[in-house]
Amino acid sequence: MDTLKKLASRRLNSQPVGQHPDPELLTLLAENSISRRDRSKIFEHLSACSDCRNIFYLALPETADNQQAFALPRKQPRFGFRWATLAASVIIVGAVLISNRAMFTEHSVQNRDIATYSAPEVTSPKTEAAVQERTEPTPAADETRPRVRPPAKHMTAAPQASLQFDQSGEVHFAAAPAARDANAAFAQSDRPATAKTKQLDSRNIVSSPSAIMPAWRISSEGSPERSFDGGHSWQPVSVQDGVRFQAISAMGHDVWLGGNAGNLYHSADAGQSWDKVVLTSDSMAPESNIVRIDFSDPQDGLLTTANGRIWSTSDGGKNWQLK
Amino acid sequence: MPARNQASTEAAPELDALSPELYRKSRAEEFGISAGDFESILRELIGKNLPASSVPERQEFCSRLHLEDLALARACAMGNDRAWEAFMLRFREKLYDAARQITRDDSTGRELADSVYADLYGTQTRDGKRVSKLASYGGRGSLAGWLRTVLAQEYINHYRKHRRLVSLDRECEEGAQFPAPAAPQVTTIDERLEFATDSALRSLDPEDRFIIASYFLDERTLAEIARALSVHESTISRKVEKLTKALRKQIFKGLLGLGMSRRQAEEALTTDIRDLRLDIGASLAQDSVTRAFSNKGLNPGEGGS
Repeated sequence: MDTLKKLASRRLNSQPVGQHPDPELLTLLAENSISRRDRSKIFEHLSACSDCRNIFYLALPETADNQQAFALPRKQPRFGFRWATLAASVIIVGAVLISNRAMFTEHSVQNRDIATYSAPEVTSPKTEAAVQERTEPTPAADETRPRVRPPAKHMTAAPQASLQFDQSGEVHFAAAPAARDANAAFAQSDRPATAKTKQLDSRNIVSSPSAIMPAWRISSEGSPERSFDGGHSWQPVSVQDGVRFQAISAMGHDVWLGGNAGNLYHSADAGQSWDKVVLTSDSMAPESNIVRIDFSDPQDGLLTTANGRIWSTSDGGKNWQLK
Repeated sequence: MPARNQASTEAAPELDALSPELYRKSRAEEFGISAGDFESILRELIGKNLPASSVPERQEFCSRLHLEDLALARACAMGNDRAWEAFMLRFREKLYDAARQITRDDSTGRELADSVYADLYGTQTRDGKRVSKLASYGGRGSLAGWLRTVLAQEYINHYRKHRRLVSLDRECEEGAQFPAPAAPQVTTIDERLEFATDSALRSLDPEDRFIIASYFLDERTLAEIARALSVHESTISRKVEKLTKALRKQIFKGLLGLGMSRRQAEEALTTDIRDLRLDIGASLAQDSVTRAFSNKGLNPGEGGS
């Protein structure tokens, strides 16, 4: 291989070059719009002329980066980064705990005080004396006590809930008799609402656009592909043989595909059927490759060709105007 | 109207019907080009590109022209101020961007674009008129693409030549202050190998030869070649592999045909290529490699191993 490479290179370098082609012919070749006859003639020259080959490669139009026609799943953070995040979280939590230690200590004292001083509310005669003895503050204790909180308020007439077990093994929450009537109205109004919400949810899942709309992309061979499982697997979509697609735009059911030699296709049913769209304006139709299609909404879109021309539509692609 | 256009005027009478529509599409009127002038431009282009062609071919040719670009370029070449304003608006940034992309350097790119811009405007005069490079644009490709090619051409022509003029200081920095003496020419290698290689290369399709030249000689990547030919990288990879095999087979066959034994042919294909005698200057001066070889009067079976 190496010997052959060197041998072929040297011999190619020594071929007669002939007359250099017109820049326009090189432009036509770079834009892939040269006639077959001229193509053969110019490649004949290019194979022998190193300078013209360099000019040709430099004159190639800058290709647009592959468009992202669907949102790729976000990359998971790296393993080390996750551990670093966890460690940072632990340190922050630790620092907060240490800095607020005094507050927690104070709260625990206060809780103890509350427990202590709410005790007199208990009116059991058996324990009254003991409690009295315990709760009477000594002068020293009075000084050290931070403050006295008011006695805690107790709820009155709280509904007494009870758990009922039935044969099916299910557990039902039963309201207390006093609250049962009051809750009945809520229960009556709540049940249908809950059922309605559930119905709505299930309908949303079925008809959710994200659930049935495929993701789209252009393969490296220039053919469109779609995925119904969030990009895990891709199925090729046949649109038109012989067209190499470079640009795609998908919005809802509307999918636009742009390819070489100004080929533009549109599907209004998420790729089930395709219509060829011919761009026309007062000037000429584009012969150059379509390298980008952008729709900001279903009506307004822009289309860019390899020779830098921009076409726009404001009626969902029915009419295109050269900007 | 130039004299050469008068002949094409007679040769393309069908333009009379087509010309008003093309004139309207070109928007040449906006830049001060009259319908008559525009028609003469079309006739000139037909005369240059399709001197002997049928009416449908000419009509097809005219319909494929980038008419707006053509009108703009010719109006600029004629010195129309409005055309220059439109040109600057549409192509100034593109020109600088393309130059930066070609040179891969901001200041060099700007310098290159300025140089080309001067040529486009026309710094030289002929018969008291500015000669603008835009007058040579024929509308077959896009004007933006043509400008890129002109930039690339200027870059190769100008900047590569200048790179050969390396200062002594720079040469010293690069460690070339003690160049090695030229190696004595070796003349003991079988010329049949060169002849067989030339024949094998000539038998290839021009496009395949271009791929081989790009890959072997220029050491372009598969991706670059694929981009140039608008095909996928894997296609070029397969093609290079296939062409290499075919070339080797063809050379081998050629060597056998020139009287070598199989063993001799195999050995010749593994010869260190640095031992080959190559006179590139002489080869370039020759009309064809076949004639050069036949002049040497070698007979099959002649020559060393």
